[in-house]
Amino acid sequence: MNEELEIFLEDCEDQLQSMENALLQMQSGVIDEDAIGSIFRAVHTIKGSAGMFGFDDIVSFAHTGENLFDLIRQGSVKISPDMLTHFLLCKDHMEKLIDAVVNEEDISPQLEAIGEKLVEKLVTYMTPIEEVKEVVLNLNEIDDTSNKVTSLWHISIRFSKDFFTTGMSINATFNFLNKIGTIHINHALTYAIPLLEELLPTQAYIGFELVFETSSSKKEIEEVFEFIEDDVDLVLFQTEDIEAYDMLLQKRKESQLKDTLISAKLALAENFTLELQEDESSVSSEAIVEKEIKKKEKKVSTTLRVDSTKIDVLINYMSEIVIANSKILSLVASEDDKEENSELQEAANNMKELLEYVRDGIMDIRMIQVGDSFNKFKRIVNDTSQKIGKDVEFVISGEDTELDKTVVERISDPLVHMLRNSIDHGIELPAERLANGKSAKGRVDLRAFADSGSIVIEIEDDGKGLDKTKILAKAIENGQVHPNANLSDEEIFKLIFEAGLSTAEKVSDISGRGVGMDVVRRNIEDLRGTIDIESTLGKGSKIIIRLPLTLAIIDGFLVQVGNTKYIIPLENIKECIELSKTQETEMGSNEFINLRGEMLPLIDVRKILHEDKSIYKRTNIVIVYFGNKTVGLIVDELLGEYQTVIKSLGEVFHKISGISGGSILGSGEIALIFDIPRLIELKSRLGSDNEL
Amino acid sequence: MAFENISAITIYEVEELKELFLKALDSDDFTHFDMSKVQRIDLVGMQLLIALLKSAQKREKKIKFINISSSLHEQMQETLCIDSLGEAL
Repeated sequence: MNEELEIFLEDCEDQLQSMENALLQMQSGVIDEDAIGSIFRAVHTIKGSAGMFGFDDIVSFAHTGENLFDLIRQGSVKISPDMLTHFLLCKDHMEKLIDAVVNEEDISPQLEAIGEKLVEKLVTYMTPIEEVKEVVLNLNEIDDTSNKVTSLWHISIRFSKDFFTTGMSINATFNFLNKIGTIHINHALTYAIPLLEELLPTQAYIGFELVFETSSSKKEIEEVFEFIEDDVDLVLFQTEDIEAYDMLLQKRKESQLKDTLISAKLALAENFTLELQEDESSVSSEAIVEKEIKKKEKKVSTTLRVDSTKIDVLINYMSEIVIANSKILSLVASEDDKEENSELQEAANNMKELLEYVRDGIMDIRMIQVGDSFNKFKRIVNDTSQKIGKDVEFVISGEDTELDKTVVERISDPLVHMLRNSIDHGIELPAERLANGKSAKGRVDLRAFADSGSIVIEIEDDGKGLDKTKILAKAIENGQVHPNANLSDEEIFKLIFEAGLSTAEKVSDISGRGVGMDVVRRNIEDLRGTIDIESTLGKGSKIIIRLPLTLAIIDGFLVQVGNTKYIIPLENIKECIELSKTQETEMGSNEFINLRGEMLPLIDVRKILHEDKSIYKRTNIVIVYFGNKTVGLIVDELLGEYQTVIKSLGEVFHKISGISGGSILGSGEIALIFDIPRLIELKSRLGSDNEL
Repeated sequence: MAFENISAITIYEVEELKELFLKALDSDDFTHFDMSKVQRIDLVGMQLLIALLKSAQKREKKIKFINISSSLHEQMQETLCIDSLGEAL
């Protein structure tokens, strides 16, 4: 796919997404001018862009949709729930057409037939209503002009040269002006249109001068031009403002304008006191050119589209630089004559610090807000709930929470699966909810927020909750749990993530086959995340996912245990203490110590990972935490902070719980990275005597 | 001239139509443009027709646009520049 097509596709995807969001918002009952405008603009932009590529199928399909929303904008057609559902199907169809054209495929006869049917139905919505009782665009207020004082306005319109290729139409604006007032005189300025030989056919040469009567304010008139303001140079003044005519001439710098205005009865000769000094034949004024330059400058300085693979390459190199720099640092540190090499040491440390800035900068580029991804789920929730006859309010919060792009992409499928589960198994049918004293409409919340150096995503529903007796019985029946096992509520709930365990009585095509939740857990664990469940029977469930901020490079803390070096992610470390002799004596064979009056569970790393006996005299404890759980890791030596490039240990070591990867140290040694969430989970489940 | 193949004069056709009209301008037969087949026109198309009239005038030619359907006439009016076609209508 060439670059232009890629941009076209990305733009269309953005437009389709905003269209879908607005449609779903309106389906939920929030019908406002912004949502209508957003749909209109989206269809309009897709039509315009498709037109530039000559994708006629998309253009003609979008054209009907655009017309419908133009009529809605004008208040001539009223929105109905059926229309919104139908327009969602139209959005899907547009998506398919776009996919086909960018993949250079022919539009299949089936797709064509679907399109024709969709258009046929769209047209049926276009019958204008006699009276628009419901306020859609607040037009009632605007239309009620009979008792208000009206004013005469002069409107002067020039277009940017590219106006026509933006896909925007001036006709809709004229129609809207007629809605809020009356255009008494309109005069098209054609003097800037060149001879056919010199004409650049898609360039805008024409201009308009209008006399318009309305009771609306200047701001309200300007708002009519809001959609096209970037590509239109507008001069608006009351006709009684005599001085404004001279200013208009000065601004436009068009030699024929004065005579044209007089001959078209748009102004009186006495309105003008100045003669135009400069002759400028082009209607496109300097102001527009300036505006365009400013606009372009603004765009360049604020955003830049970059292929994400380029950032991945950059991160790979960055990782190698971090490793190479570690080697420099360790060589400098091992130099015998440290005083003589103090400058080298300073330079190396300086480099380390600068590299941290660069690393943070690069990682920051990869951070994206989860909102875009979350908004896509609205449709899934909408479709799923409709399909099974449930009424669900879907509430998203924390859309601006940032997460690594890869994490966002990889978490998407698991989230879809869990949302579907919440709706299918969690939320009850309206009648059942009413019988249980709940409102007929269920609620599913999707939240994201930052907490203790990780990102938490929660899915909460107010449905029937998990039945732990049923889950346990099923797990025992499957042989996944021993009949005499004494499991906590949390442990029982987590059984739903085991393969083959579904307590759903009815298998639907949405969920209930017991496949999926184990994959969900695996996907999240692959991202070094954790998943927990809280649930109350009859009241609802909450799934809590904790994810690391990044996947590639982390700030770590290097420790030595026996002959091996280990890295603990810095974000999980609370503090480091030395295990005193008194504490050691008090501890005895227990796996906890009393730390400032509170019990601190301990994990003896040497023991669980079969490390050799310590040669060190002192024993240290690194206190780590994840969520609301804290444990102490018993280690030999604390070696200090370390920029850690995470490397996979490969399939062979995949099953070592508590170790998430490895890292190459400056000396060339391998250090193992602790997976703190897993370690804490294992500690709470098994106790530290068990080997990993 | 009938220009059998022209069913629309919009932004999507103007590039091609410019070349077609330029060739036609050199022909003595081009005294009228039969628009009976034209179903759609937009402001960009109107600009093209105005430029065509300007070039015809320079060649001291008069071109008439004939057989305009009521629907097309309505579309021309919506562009607010139908008056610019003057006597050609």
